[in-house]
Amino acid sequence: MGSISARRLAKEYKELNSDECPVGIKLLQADDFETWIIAIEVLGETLYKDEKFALKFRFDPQYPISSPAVQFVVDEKYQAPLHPHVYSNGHICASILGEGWSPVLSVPAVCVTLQSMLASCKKKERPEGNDRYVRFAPDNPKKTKFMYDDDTV
Amino acid sequence: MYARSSEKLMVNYNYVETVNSNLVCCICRAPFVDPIITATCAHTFCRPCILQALDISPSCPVDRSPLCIADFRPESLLLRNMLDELIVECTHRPAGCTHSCQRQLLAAHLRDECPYAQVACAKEGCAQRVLRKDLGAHAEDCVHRITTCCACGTAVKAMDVEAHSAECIAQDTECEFCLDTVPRADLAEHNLCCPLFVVPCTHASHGCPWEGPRSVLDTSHIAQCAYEAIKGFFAIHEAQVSALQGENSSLRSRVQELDTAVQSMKRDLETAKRALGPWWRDGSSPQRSDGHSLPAITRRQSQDQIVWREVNPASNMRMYAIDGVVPRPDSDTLRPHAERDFLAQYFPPAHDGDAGYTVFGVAGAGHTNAGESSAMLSGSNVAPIDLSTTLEGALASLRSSVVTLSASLDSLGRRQDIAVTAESLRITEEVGALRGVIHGLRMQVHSIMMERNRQMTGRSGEGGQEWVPSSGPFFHGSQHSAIMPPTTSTTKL
Repeated sequence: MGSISARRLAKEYKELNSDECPVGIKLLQADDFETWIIAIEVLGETLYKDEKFALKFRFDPQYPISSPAVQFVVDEKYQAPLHPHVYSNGHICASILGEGWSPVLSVPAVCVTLQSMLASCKKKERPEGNDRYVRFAPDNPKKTKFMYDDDTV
Repeated sequence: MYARSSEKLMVNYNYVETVNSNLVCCICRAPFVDPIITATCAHTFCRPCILQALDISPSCPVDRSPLCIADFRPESLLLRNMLDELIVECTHRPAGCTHSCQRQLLAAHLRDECPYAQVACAKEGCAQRVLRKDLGAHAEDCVHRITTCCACGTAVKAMDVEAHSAECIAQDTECEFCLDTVPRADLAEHNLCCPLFVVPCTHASHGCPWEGPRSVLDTSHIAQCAYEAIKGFFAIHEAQVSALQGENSSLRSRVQELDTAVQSMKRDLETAKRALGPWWRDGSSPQRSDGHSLPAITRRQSQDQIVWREVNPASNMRMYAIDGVVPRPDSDTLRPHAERDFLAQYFPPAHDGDAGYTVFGVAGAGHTNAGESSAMLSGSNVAPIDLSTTLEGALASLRSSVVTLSASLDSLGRRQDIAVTAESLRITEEVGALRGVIHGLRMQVHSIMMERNRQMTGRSGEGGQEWVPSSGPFFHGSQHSAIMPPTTSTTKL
């Protein structure tokens, strides 16, 4: 069941492992069609030069109709980037991950979008109310109702 | 390999060649299946893919423009043909099928020819599904295939062959006692003569409990069987018993017949009894036993009324005014009078209701019972139906009373005539006399008046006219009258 997601993810897996994979993105772990870890790096002259981050993608059987749960990995090896839309637990406030999601998007597309989000950041800071959010945040960022009100970033 | 999306099964095709990216759905990243295109923004999707996407968000996945299912049109025939003609591998490729064909022809391939597709065994009762390539091999082994029994030739399913062999009549089986192999069809015969077959003693029906091999029976048991010694007695006894039984059953059936005959006769008898009514005689007593009072009524007549008293020729008939009594059930036995027996009385109509009529006759002839007689008018004084004789007797007495009655009626008629005649004679005489008297009186009156007339006219000086009495009514009918009008002489004056 849910092989629409399996087929899509199989194709994306192939794409990520091939030459078409966007630069700065690397598939770290993809053992099943449920959770993938992808390493991203922002290229060019940005605030995050030389910083490596890891993104955790969680898919459900309705992918790509339903959006994946995406967050930055926060553990001994990786930290969440310091960004006004990234909370310290790794949750990302991005429209494409919520109501802006489209089935046309894919894992590479999301990664690229997040790369550009990081690249276009002007100031490294945590979002407002980060501590309170982190205290009460659910495990799955899709359960959070983000309000998208900042168009500058 | 199948995923159920909103309405359709989505088949996972393996495309042989690289497909042009324009033919690929951006949602499922596979060549379109049943493609539809938006009328607004001209984006194409697989119908199942976009229906699922619209459930989540009513907007075009590509450009987020608002969208609903009504905005879609089917894609062009050109595109659909191109998609249908894409070459795909058979879905059973992993199992071994090397067939490739156009996408639109795959379904037929799977249904009709793919050797690795599962089909159901055609044998009746077999629900197994095997790959088409194995169907032949399966058919040869299928337990539901029909084979024929080698011995008896009946058609038998392969799985039942064993069970059938155990019962097949043409096959050999072993006699359980002598261990000979015998065809099952002949087993019954064999049992009849097998020397080791266990049989009961021939006299088991008479009670011998012994059982054993036939050979033993014949050789040793019969010789010492106690029942053998008295078998003559048994034979006689049997014959007697069966004769008795036969007689018994025939007697039984006869009894049945007689029973039914008796029943019907009883019913007839009942009917006759009821019909006879009071004349039904039991053997012993002459009375009825049904509790009704014997219906006997004496009807008083009004014969002795005033009119007839004087001339009363009715004395022709003896008036037997009987002691009026409602005869009680036992009163039949108390009626010794010959007169009563002779003169039957009127039999009242019914048994039940009318038994209430009780009229009292009056003792003695000539008595009138004006009070009751007004109620009963018809008939003469007649004795009640005598129930102490037979029906025949009663009818005879009825007949005689009818005879008497007619005779009395005749005499009554005659008497009436005579009486009427006599009376009328008398009356006529009287009338004649009266007429004479009246005539005389009239003559007298007339003469007196003439006299006066004359006197009055004489006073006036006139000579008297002769008045001749007209012959008219005066003389009419006076033939019998002894009185002549005296004035005839005076008128001549």
